[in-house]
Amino acid sequence: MKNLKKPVLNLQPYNYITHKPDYYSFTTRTGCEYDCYFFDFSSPFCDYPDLAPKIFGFNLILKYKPADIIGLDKRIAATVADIIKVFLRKHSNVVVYICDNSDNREKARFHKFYHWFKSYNDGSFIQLRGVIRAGNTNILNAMLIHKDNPQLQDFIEAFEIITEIFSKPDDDELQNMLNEPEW
Amino acid sequence: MQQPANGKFEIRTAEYFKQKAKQAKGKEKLLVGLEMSKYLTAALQHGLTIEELKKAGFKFATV
Repeated sequence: MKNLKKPVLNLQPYNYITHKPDYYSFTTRTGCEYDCYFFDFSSPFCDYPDLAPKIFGFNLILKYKPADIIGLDKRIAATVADIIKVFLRKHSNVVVYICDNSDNREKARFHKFYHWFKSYNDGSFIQLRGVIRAGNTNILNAMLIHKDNPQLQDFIEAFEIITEIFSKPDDDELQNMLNEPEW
Repeated sequence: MQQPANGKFEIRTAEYFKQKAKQAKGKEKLLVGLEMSKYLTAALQHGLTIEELKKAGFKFATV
């Protein structure tokens, strides 16, 4: 029987344009236009002056979507993962991703991003997940770092401190949240 | 991104978030980071350009 399931790692990323030194853009086969960018995220890590300049936030924006486009395009994940991996390889930098909770879709967003990066991780990158409790809201976030980053342990420690309850001590709790039915 | 009562998009600078993060404690610092991330998305959606955001002190990076 023919295996119709194509391994995700074989998916070709879309060609993307690097608008140096500011952002990236790509267009999918269905005509969806995306911009994504890394931005200075040093402010939240201002207590760590040695690490802060190397920390970048990441945003992905759907700039244009043609009408009646539905369905899942896994090449988007391949493209975003590729852009992030190249960014992490070329720098000794770190990427922080915080899920926008304005539309109450932060869990879906976090789940999607986490699995995108997990699927395309060849083992060179570490992804730490975190959650910040703010009143009744859970702010989900992740830190991505190359395993050969010379300050790996310092970054992990800073991330764990700044997110307070998160990754390591409370990993079971976070996993339970990820396993909630609405995910 | 919170809109002012008059519906006009409120322009922020990188310095605004820098000072806010400086004053915040612990996890609140990351919440300032989230606010900044949401601001940048909203600003671009409201028609501000990367160039204008750079003039407001925000920094971007590519490789």
